[in-house]
Amino acid sequence: MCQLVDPTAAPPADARRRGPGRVLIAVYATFALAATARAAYQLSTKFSEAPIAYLLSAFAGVVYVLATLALVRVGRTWWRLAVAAVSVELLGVLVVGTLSILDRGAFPDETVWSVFGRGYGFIPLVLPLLGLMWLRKTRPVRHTDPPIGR
Amino acid sequence: MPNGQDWAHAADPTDPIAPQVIGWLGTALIVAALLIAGLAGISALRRRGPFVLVVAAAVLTEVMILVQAVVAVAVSVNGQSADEPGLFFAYLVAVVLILPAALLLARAERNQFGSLVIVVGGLVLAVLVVRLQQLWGVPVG
Repeated sequence: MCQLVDPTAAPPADARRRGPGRVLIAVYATFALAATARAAYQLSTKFSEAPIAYLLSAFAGVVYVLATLALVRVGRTWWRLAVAAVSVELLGVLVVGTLSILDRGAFPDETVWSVFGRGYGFIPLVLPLLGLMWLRKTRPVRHTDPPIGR
Repeated sequence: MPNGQDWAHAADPTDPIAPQVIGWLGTALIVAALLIAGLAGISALRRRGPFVLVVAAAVLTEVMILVQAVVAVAVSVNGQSADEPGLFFAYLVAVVLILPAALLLARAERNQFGSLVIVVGGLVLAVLVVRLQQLWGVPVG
């Protein structure tokens, strides 16, 4: 299927969720579900065993849900929120990954981000990098904003 | 695994029918899921949307999943259950929904990225089924 693309034309408003973005959204949605469900289970059944790890699980779940939602939505504000969520995700996997190696005692039970996401095939480490690359590529251009109040 | 601690809670070892049904169907599901991912991967490499064959395989697999789900529910109603029923049924819901979700998401994208969405769906399904089998206490494979 060949599309004629005018390189000078502004990208479509929903460019972020098309093409590679759709694959990214599929993976993010998976992690949103996995992390949230995992946290809900941990918090509801064995919170006292490892409160810090389980609260971190819940935090990771919220970050993934926000990132998924922001990737799906159209517009500058959602793009900014997506950048913020994916950046926090990257920071989270790096910090938690490092801490979980340095101090095993602090993380008696696994979170999505433990050991840089080893339990999830290290996808949690790669995903935010791909996400930031994609967001950089689909950065909304100011002049594509619809004129307001004219 | 006749004396296995694995399915001690799952089923009476002298009545292996139910776990066996779940077991072989689970294995078939893992194979089917990987097959879907592989076929969709070929479509993606050819820069095409998912082949008709991929969609057909996904529909067939979904039927197998529904059979599996019905068996699991029926067996659970009869008193046997997974070690952690709540967790087991949460995974079961995810397994039932994953392929329709992937197909729906891929539908609007008739190019290699649509195929890649199906690849992701197939791989996630395989992982979920493995977890499902672990939770039920059936030896995986």
